[in-house]
Amino acid sequence: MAGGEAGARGLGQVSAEQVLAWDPDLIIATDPRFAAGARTDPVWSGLRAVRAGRVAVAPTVPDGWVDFPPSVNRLLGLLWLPVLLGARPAEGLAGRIAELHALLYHHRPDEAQLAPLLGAALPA
Amino acid sequence: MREGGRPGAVLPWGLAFAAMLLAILAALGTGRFPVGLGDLLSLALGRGDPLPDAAWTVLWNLRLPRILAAVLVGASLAAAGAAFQAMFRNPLASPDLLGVSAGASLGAVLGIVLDLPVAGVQLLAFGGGLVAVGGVLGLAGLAGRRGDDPTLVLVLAGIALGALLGAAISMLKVFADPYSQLPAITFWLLGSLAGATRGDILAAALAAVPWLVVLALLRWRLNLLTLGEDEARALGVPTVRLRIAAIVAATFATAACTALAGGVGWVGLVVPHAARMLGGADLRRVLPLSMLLGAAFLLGVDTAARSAARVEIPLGVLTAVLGTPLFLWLLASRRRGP
Repeated sequence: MAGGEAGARGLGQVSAEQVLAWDPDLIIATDPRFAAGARTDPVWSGLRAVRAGRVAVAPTVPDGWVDFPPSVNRLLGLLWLPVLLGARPAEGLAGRIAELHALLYHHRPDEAQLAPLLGAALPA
Repeated sequence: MREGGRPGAVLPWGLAFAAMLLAILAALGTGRFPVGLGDLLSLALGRGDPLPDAAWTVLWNLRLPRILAAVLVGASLAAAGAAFQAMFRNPLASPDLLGVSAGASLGAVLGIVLDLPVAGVQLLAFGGGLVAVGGVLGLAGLAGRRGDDPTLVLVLAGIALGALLGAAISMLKVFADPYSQLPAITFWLLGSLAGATRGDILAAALAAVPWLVVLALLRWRLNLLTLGEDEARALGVPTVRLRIAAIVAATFATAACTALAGGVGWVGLVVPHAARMLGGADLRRVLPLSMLLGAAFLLGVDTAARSAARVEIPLGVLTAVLGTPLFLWLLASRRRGP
């Protein structure tokens, strides 16, 4: 959850009813299957974010960008989240991510490699 | 245990049904989403604005299935507990005495470690509970000698196998992925109905309800087991067959509910006591009263679990936190009573 006060802090199991009460602007999923099934799910399809297609899938290769396991990949998440939340422009994101990969993993992914890495991280 | 009122006494039934009704209404009208009984009432009276779609989703798709799940789990665990306490002639007995919870937990933990889908985890939990109790019955048959108290051998075999299963669970926890599997295992062992879908609830009901009917049909015969082994046999009661039938029925019901809800302790121990204090020692009344009170109790606990905080509070934690004061109060009021 962006915007602190309404959200739960840390990791926790939240009921679907609580999610409906929050009706978030944006959902970051960790499982691409969830993002694919949310539109047809009777509960999740009632959310504004799902109806508007604002469901992002956090990249997980080789480690999660926002959640697990805790690793240097969270630095990539720090580049990605401001773009997802609209605080920074999307231009140049791919370049910055490739740069950080070169620094962390000593390999600079080209555009063909970056696309599957990002997946559905930036919904329209 | 004091003698209960007349067999047809209405008050215990009235109280139990009232508790159940109150719990259902409270569960339907309470939750994190702002829709309550007042909205439904004004809708029924034709006043006020129509409810938004999300409110119907909450009532119909979220709260109602959870109410059914809590009623099923609470009634099953309490009925199994009442049967076990009568059968073992011990007020400390609970449905997990013969290892059904430990076996179900091991099955579920194994399923989580193997990354099985939810249905696989539930199936393994159900099967694990049945296999564990089957193992305890087999062990007791091997270890028992002529002249032993058969229930004592059963209990000891249950404790022994329970310790073994606990060790296996601990071992699997050590091997589990600490970031994804270990939290899932922890949540499962503490119990929750947050993830129960309609399909899950239907499957658990199909597996549990027939055995609850068996327990209900056996209830007057179970009275005879409370006489003790020798006295019951002297009366011509087939104690071995009767005991096995009750164990099988209670185990199937408990295993199905554990597969649905995870580890929910304390209900099977506490609720039969409440039922006895309300209705006396006669199982013909205690068993159905336990079902009603167990359903009401777990429904109340689950409503608190999903409503008290933004995150779900594990059921197993709340049953103990809310059940302990209730239990102590029952004990205290029993001593002061007539």
